[in-house]
Amino acid sequence: MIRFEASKVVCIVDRRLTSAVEEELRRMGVGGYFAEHAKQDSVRMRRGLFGQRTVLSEAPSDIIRFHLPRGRETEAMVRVAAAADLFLPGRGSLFAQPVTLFLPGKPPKEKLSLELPAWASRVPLKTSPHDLIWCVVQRGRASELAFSLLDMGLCVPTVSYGEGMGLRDRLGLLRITIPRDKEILMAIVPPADSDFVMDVMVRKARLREPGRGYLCRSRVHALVTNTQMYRDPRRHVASMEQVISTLDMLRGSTDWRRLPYAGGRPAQGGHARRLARLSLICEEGAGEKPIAVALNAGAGGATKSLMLRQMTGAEPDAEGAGGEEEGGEWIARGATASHARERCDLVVPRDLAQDLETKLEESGFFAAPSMGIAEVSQVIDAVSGNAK
Amino acid sequence: MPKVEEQMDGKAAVRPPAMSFRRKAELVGGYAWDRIAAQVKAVAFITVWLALFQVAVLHVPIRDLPGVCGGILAVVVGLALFMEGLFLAIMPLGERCGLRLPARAGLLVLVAFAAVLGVTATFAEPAIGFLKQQGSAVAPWDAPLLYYLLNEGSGWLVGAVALGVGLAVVVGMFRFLRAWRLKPILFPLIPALLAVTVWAALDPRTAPILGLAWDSGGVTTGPVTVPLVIALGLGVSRIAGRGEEAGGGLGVVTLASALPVLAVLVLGLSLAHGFPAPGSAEAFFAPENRAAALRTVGGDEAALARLAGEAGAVGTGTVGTEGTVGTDGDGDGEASLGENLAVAAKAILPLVGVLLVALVVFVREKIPHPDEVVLGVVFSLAGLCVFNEGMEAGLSSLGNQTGRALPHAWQAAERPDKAVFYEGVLPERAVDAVEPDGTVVRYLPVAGKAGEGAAWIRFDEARYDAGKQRYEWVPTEPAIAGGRTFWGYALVLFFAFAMGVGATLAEPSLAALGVTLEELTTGTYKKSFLVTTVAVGVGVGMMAGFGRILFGWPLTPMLCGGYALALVLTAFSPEDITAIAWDSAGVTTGPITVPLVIAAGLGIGKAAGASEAFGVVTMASLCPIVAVLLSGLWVAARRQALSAGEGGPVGYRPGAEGGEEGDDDGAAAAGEVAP
Repeated sequence: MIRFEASKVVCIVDRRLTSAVEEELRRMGVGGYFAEHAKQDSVRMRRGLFGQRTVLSEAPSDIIRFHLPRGRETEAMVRVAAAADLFLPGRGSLFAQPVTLFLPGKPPKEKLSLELPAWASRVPLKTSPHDLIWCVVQRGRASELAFSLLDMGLCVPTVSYGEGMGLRDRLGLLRITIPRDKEILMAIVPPADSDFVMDVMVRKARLREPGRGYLCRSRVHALVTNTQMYRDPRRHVASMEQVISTLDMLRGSTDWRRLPYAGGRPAQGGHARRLARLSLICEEGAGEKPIAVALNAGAGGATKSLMLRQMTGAEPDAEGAGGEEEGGEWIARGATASHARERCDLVVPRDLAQDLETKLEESGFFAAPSMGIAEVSQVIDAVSGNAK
Repeated sequence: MPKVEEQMDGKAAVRPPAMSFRRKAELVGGYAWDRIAAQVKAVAFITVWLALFQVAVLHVPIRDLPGVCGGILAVVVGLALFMEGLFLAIMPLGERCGLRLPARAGLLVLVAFAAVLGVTATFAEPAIGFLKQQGSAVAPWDAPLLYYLLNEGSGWLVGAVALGVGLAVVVGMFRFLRAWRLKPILFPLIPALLAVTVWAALDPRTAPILGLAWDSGGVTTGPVTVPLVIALGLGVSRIAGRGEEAGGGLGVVTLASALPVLAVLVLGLSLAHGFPAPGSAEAFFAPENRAAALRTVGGDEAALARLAGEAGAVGTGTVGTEGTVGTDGDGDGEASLGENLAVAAKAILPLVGVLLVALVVFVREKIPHPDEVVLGVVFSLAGLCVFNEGMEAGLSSLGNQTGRALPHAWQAAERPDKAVFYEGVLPERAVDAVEPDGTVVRYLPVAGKAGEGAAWIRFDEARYDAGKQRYEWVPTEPAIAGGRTFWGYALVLFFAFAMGVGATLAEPSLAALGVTLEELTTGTYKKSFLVTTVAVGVGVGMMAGFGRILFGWPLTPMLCGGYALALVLTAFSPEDITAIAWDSAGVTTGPITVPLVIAAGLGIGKAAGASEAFGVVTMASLCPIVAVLLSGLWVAARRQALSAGEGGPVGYRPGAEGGEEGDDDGAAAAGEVAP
């Protein structure tokens, strides 16, 4: 098992832009990425027989994740954002997060080509800290939550599907009576608004009640966040979202648009702290054993999501000669022929995360044929009705 | 609630929860109720529509109401059990095989597995046996080749269908592994299929097998096969990693519908040379035709002699294609519970067996959640058995009643439910009366209603019971819409449309496809949208099919025109919508739609004097393709309009701000953007 400090870049884009992102990754020398189907929610006005009403509009999207050596993520994000024109509101979000990877073997030398185009030097492009709120609820509940967030003008949520693992699997055959299907809602919000948004989500999804789901918050660095909350025909030469984006860029942060009540309404107590998020990535169908190890070690439960490992066609550097970096690209390149992957996310105390790394290695998670990858990231706090 | 301790801080593990019996009962009750309620919603429309139309429009009371109600209840429970079994065992096993086989067992094993699965599915499908049973309904002189294929040559027929389905599953697996798109397969395949159909239609010897061939395509895609091949395709396409480009596991159903049709048509054309053209019984048994006649009965002299002996009694038998479609449940009699269980076991167990062997022997993997798999198989077996029982007693019975009464919409009809028995009737009291055209009709004087004096009723010898001296008089009522008028036909077509919509809403294969699609698209393609669109398509297809029976429209131009339109729309549609649309054609012809189509089609076909009722199922498969493609294009256009409203391509793309690429030093740029 090799420990590797990396940056995880997450790009949430409208599905029509996925090929543009993939092509840019290939040009940058990133050989592979993990893709997960999702939807970006917004609202629009619908005219009906009984007048106008606001309805949820769901755009098919992909969550694209790839890993890079720490410190190279910003250039990569600028390149991807430019290629998919993500500076245009409504197209997607792009952020990076420092992670620690535990890999089956040493990653090969990669030749990353992250030169920025000339125009990038003339505009104030920089990332700003944001909070990623990651909320797991029962299938069918995320729409209601997303609508509330949009209706209050807080953020554009992204929703993907997952499956709950843990408590349900300990019930014997009775487990079939409890739906395992979950929805994962991701919201990227400025830190100034984060407490308020989290409070809204906890209240709306009643997350303090047992069995309702859970939520955790991590710090990320976002280059672009989707601000297109309303999808309506534009009536002016620029949309309100374009004006907001421009102001964000000119002011250099999103702080100017913080909520008037942000900070004045602290979230209720009971947040668990000193936590880490452990993501176990392995071949689809092989996640049950490591999850059992984690549950036996004391983890409360896990959420499984399906991903595809996609190859961009970029060649790895031969024998490491001339290679610039040790890149995480190997991670997505993988060791098995199958492209089907599953990611099992667990939120655990940091001490337990360290303990789990050892236990997973002992269980053979990082060795053949499993060849799993573990990714650990810091969590600021979390809320769950099941936690004391 | 189950006892959970310290989930977040993880100091203690989650304990296996101790649950009271009451809590367990609540869980099981809630789980069962959710499934039952979903099926009640699915079946409600078709049940209410059939009952309402029969009682309120056709004014015919429902016979055996308790039996029908019990049957419908059994359909609901059966569907709930069957669907749960699909989701617990059959689909997860299929997906697991798709995920594991290509990586662990290699391409050759996958191809062999796909071929075996396709062939097993054909032999397991109860409808294939149903096709073979129709042999007895076909007179050899009316359609010699069809008679041969359904009797002595049934091995050829089943072999051709099995070859078609097996090839379809193999091509489907390659499509996922190699990311072949569906359009380049469809564009040559469908015109080739239509060309062969036209060729077969032009030859009088092969024309009667058209109905059989196209029905073979429909019946192979049954309620077990469809979800299974979809799940299998889903697994294989995830392995390949290009799910959306290849339609995410869809397309096999399309191939499994089209290739058997092609296989049966090619078989018919290749065998046709030795067979006589359809003709009279005399011509068939004529000495100069003996060699061809012998071939029709498989060279069996005794069989030919028996047929020659029966020829006079049989007269002109049913034309084969009618036999394929136009058999109502009454003639077959109801199957017992044991027979239905055997049918269910034959449909499910061989397929599950193939999957288990593949996983255990070739993948060498433990069966995931074996308890769930066993429970799922038991659920699907019990579900299919109870469903078949319920269909016979409930929905099919209701459909048969409505179908028989349906011609009353445009023509006068007898009302057996209002029959009056006259005791002590002597035939000599009947009086001859002359019609304007010279025919003599007998009338019987009877007492009218109180105070109205005597009345004359028509006397029919067939309804006179000489032993009991009792005469059964069945009154005749005028057409609901006042004769063979526009409104009479419109009423029938509207009934057909609503029946198509209702039956489709309840189809289990379509529900399974909808759930899979919703999962595949993270809910952006809703199951309800798919089901509604397909239901409208089936409704329109039913109208077209019934219109063909009523007005005698030729089928071949309708098929060619419909498929040409579908191909044009396909050319403008994205790959994923194409796969959904063409697969939806296969899933619509399921265990609810087909019996109802047969019941209503037979009723109308007899009344309209149509020589055969084939075409309704085919049109009900074709129109959903057009409907789904149109809906996909509409959604894409609306999304495009919304995107256009968001503004032009501004932003900081290379060169967008006036700077040329490469005119500045990249290192400086990197410094500017550092966080």
